[in-house]
Amino acid sequence: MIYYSHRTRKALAEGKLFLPLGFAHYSYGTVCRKFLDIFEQAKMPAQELMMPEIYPSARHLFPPSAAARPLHIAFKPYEEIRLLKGAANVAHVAWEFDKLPCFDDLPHNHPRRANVMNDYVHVLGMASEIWVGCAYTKRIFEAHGLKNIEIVPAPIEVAGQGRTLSRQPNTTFYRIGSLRLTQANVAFYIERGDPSMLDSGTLLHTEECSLTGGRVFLSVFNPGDPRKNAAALILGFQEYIQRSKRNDLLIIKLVLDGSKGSLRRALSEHLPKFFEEAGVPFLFIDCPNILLVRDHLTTDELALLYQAADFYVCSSGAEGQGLPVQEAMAAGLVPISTRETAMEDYIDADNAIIMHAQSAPIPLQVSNGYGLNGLSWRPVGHREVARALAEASALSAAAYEARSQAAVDRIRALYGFDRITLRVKERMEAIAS
Amino acid sequence: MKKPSGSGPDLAALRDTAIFVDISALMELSWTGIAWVTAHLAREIYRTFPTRSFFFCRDQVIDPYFMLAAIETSPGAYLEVLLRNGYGELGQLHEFVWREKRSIGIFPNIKTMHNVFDVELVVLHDLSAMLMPELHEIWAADLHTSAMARDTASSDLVCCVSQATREDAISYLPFDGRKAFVSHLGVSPVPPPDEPPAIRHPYALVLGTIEPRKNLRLVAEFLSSRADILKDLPVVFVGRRGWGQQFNQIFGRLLDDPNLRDRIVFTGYVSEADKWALIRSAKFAIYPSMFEGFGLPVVECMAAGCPIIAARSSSLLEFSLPDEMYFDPFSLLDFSRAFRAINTMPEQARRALGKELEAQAQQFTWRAFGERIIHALATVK
Repeated sequence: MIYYSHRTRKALAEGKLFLPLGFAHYSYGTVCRKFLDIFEQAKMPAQELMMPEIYPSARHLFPPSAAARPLHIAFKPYEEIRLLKGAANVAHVAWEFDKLPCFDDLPHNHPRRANVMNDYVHVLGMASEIWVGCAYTKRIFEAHGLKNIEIVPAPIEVAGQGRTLSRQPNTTFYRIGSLRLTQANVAFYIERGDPSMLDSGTLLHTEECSLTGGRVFLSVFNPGDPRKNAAALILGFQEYIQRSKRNDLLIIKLVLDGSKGSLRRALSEHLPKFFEEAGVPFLFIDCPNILLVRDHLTTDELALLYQAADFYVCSSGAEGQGLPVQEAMAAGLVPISTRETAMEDYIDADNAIIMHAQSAPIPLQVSNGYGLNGLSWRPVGHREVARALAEASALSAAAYEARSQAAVDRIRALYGFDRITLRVKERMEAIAS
Repeated sequence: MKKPSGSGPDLAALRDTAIFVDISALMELSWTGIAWVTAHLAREIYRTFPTRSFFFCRDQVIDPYFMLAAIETSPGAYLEVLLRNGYGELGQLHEFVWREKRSIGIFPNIKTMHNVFDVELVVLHDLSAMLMPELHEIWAADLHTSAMARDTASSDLVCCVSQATREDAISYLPFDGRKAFVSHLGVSPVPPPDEPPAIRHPYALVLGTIEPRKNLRLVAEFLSSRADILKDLPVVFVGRRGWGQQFNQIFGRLLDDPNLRDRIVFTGYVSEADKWALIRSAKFAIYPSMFEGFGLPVVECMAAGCPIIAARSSSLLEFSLPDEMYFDPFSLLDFSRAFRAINTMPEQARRALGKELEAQAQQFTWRAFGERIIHALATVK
């Protein structure tokens, strides 16, 4: 039996069975679900422990553990990692910056020192083994003197093959209603076959917009997350459109927690703040070619979205694995991305359009959260985004096809279910021995 | 379970040492766990070192006779009122400490000062504030969490009230684990009955402050699904009003039912005498708490020969109840099984179990608790 814990204290308090998309630390829930798929496919029974810390040993679980030293995997944010006593405790964590928050770097009287669980080096030191999603994270942890770090990334389902630039000309996208916020001309769109499928109850109207011979760029992210570098993406796309005069689309699938006002907060608070930090007033954003998808999408709908797009743009300045870009690559989209942090493992010139990033201090709201100064990330600037989009749109059909196939192959080789299942089994055997 | 040492501690090593005990917890208006631990420990230290023990609140040394009187008077504002009116204060703590050749400071709860005494000992009750902050009031979680690391690091000895607390401390706190030792808490001798119990029918008893960690929701869920049980067996809840959802909210649905509301009784905080009377008369007790540092109510029930079912969690396993008396605090199914097992147990078997638990509880005495602490102090150079 494999034991796992993944629900945050907040999720437990709110009675959530899983961390929904957009919920605080939801990516741990997403990773956990992917591993549960592996356990299920490999017929490895798994049981959730809501609060592993309450049991004096695995023997006292209900039903009791048969193994002398069972495996417990915590898919949790650092502060919330708890041990199952008497078990081999694995911490599956993500980290994407160049240093880990630890008390060695904090002033003596810093308020974060009040809780030892804010010292991530200390927390990780409690685990028997640490599983991470990429080589970059492993290097950072090792630099802090941590041991027993293994790269065991979340698996990615790779169903298809590489694809071609064969989308029908005049594909119709349906604009659904419209929303004007702080004068920005942003609208909700979604690519679907039939606008009557749309829930128009809360929307005013739909209108068609045709795309003749244009390219579709896709990005998926939580607009409240400063690491995603949304300002560079939107500004870069706008600059690209203005310079190229092309009729291309940027579809941004927003990952929102679904709570009341989450979209309003994203568009009227978070994004304007990121633009301000980039030195550009949000009022300047006026691009009808940027389409925002607000709704939660089913797997099939997400597949439709991938089908509609040609390229996936990852403007993120720091990733612990980068699941959205990997999923897009698995669907055959050619990524436009940096080769920084986690992306160094799977992005290269054969399978992507590479953007060049520069080291910079992380945004204040991130550094304040960790109480750390001097942390850096590797964001890409909007000029570089515009350049990369132009490079992408100039790709020949043959070059696109080759990169698309290479992207699929790379994800299958490194993150496919078979590969990760083997890796998990290998680690389990090593831990047991 | 660690047995108390038969021979008692070697006191010679502490011949030239003054022992200071922080009795701030006695200022609490309604005494529950920590205030009682402080009271018993202070009394044991005074009994062992009548001329070399000192007791302090904040920066004032308190006359031991006032301290003993406060313990005899027990819960209430006795000490607080005395001190506010200037009675019982012998002088500034630092003056007493500085004139001693060697000093030991004992902190039965959070340390109110650090590095003041030559040797410092802190009693660590549990890590729940840090491990499960959502089950505490925010101020309490912050206060205790910030104290834990600092207190354990600045102490020469860390007395953990259970093996589970010691293991948690060593696992989660960055301090030298060799400083940590276990001394289980004790239970007072059960007073003989002096009057008939307040509730005359057999009932199930649930002890503990009304707060989320005590997991009364599990009992509410069970009783809601098996309301028929209440017809034959009332359930009595005894405990201080704490925080979070209170009794009426947790049991609202059952209390709304006119046929059931008289079968669920909440007494609130009761005196020691009433508490013992209620324990003694119960058919059995239930302790569903998710997490404990020790679990004093369980030992109290054992000492009074009251059979008990308890959560299979944290320190509660150290009481070695029969296996079938434990249940998973997150499993309604497992709780139902344990409840059925004890509720349908033949009267004779239940009495035999009560006797057995009573004998087991003999090992938990306040004297043994104090002796283990004194013994540990005697080993510090």
